[in-house]
Amino acid sequence: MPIKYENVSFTYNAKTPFSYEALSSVNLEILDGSFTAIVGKTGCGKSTLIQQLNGLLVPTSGEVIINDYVVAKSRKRRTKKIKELRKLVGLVFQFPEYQLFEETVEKDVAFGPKNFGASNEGALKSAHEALRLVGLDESFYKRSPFDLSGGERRRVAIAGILALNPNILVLDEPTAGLDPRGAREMMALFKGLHDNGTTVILVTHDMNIVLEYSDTVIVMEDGEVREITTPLELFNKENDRYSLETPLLYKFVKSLSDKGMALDIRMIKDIDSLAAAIALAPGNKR
Amino acid sequence: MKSLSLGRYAPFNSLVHRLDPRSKLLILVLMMVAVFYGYSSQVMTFVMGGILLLIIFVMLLVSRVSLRQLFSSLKALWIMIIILLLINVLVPPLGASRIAFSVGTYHIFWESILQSAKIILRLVMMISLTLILTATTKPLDLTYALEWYMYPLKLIKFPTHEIAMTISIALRFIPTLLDETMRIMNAQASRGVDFEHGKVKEKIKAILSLIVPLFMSAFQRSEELANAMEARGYNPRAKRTRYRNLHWGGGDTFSLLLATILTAGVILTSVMNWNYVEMIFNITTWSVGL
Repeated sequence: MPIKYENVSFTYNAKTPFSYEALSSVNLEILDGSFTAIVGKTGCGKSTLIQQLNGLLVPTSGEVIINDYVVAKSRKRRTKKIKELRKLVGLVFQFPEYQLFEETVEKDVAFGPKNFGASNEGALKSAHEALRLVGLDESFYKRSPFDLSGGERRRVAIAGILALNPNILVLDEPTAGLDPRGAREMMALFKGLHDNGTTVILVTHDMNIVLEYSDTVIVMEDGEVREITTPLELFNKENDRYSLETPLLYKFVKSLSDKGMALDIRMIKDIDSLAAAIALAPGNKR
Repeated sequence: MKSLSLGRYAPFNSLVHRLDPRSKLLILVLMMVAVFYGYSSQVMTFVMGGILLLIIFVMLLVSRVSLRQLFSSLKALWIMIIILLLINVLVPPLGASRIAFSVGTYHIFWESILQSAKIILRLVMMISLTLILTATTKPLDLTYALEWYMYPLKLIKFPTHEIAMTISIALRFIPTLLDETMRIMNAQASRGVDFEHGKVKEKIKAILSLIVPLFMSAFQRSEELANAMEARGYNPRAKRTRYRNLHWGGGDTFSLLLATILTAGVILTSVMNWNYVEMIFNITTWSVGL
């Protein structure tokens, strides 16, 4: 069952002088097993949009449907067991390393599963599995999360969500502030999870990531969904209406085309396909 | 941020908003004094309380404080009311004699109930007054006013500027830390923490999962701020000028005068043991007698 937003609007501080409409009549559908990127300028409502996925924010009007769960204002419609929804949808906030609080890494990661009713051993088992996934070995288990480096802390925090085994993983700029290598490893981790059937929803400003990993892109502007498309289509359009940065790969391809190399841009998605296209380009000596 | 915090500055342009923070602060102090004066009889206490409440209500309307916000903050007073009643019932005020009702052999006096009502009335007025000040004055302006009032203390080498700086930094970080609290609460809620329900042990754990990260980030922020101030060459002892100057106008003098007259009247009534109720009563009986 896909995720569905039906006419979702959201206003912060409604009926006060600070009232601010962050989302207005959003309609969209996210398919099961997709890797969806949500892009748009800061303050366009991306974070508000994803916080409705596990009921942290409830739409001022309209409703969000996730499998059989409904997030809506109406008491009749909305799901009572919000906790089950939170287990289904793992939400990783921006800079999640600030949510760590336990004495040891393994205890912190096991905190989530325990909240959802796992036994001590069961929670630790999920914690160890999640830590393995994010690439932290046994030597980290008994360390204090506050002694780790920023990147390691981020991994621990993400493991804290992965330990819940969510079917839908929502990530708010998971690579922000990481060094390039750390960011690559992080994205490889999410790709691996996606290949194993997890639906991944990713908020990001990095268009290289959008091009390389996502299969669907949702473009947002001023609290509205402007476009739901594929990365290839989005970046192939010449105009930069949404003032999105062009991915490096495409800048290179466009520069090559401008200099007279005939390339079929539709065939290019990564370095390999670019290399293949260049090798095949007419006029190249073989 | 989900909910408005109590007493947050509301950017309107009312009469009260335009007053100088110094006059507002002084008026608040005067009115507080007026609110806390006692009178010769219980009846007088409530008559004067009623008059003050009415004045404060008008002030609330003029300053465009959201009454909804006020009532929602007064809702939290229920616990106070119950505790106060309990204390006053268990330890009746001196000279309590009139029995309201009895539970078995235990008497509950009218004086206990009136005493609690008096304290509640004062609390309500105090909260409303403070709300008027904070809702109509930018925190930074308030700090400037405080610093201005502390000026004489400079002569005895009292670090007024440092204190004003500390207060303004503290005020500046209240919304930031509130946002941070919301952020961490959301993050932990995503990990299945339930801040509202659950057993005591689970609740303690839930609070812990909020407090520890909050302290961590607060310490980190303060360290970063200290570094940023150092880097800009901040020196608390340096003589400095200000971008915004406070401006005392005719309205300030006038409002202050009104508040002074009101407070003086209240003090006089209290000290002279005037009893308006009896006076009016006497006049009417006297005229009826004629």
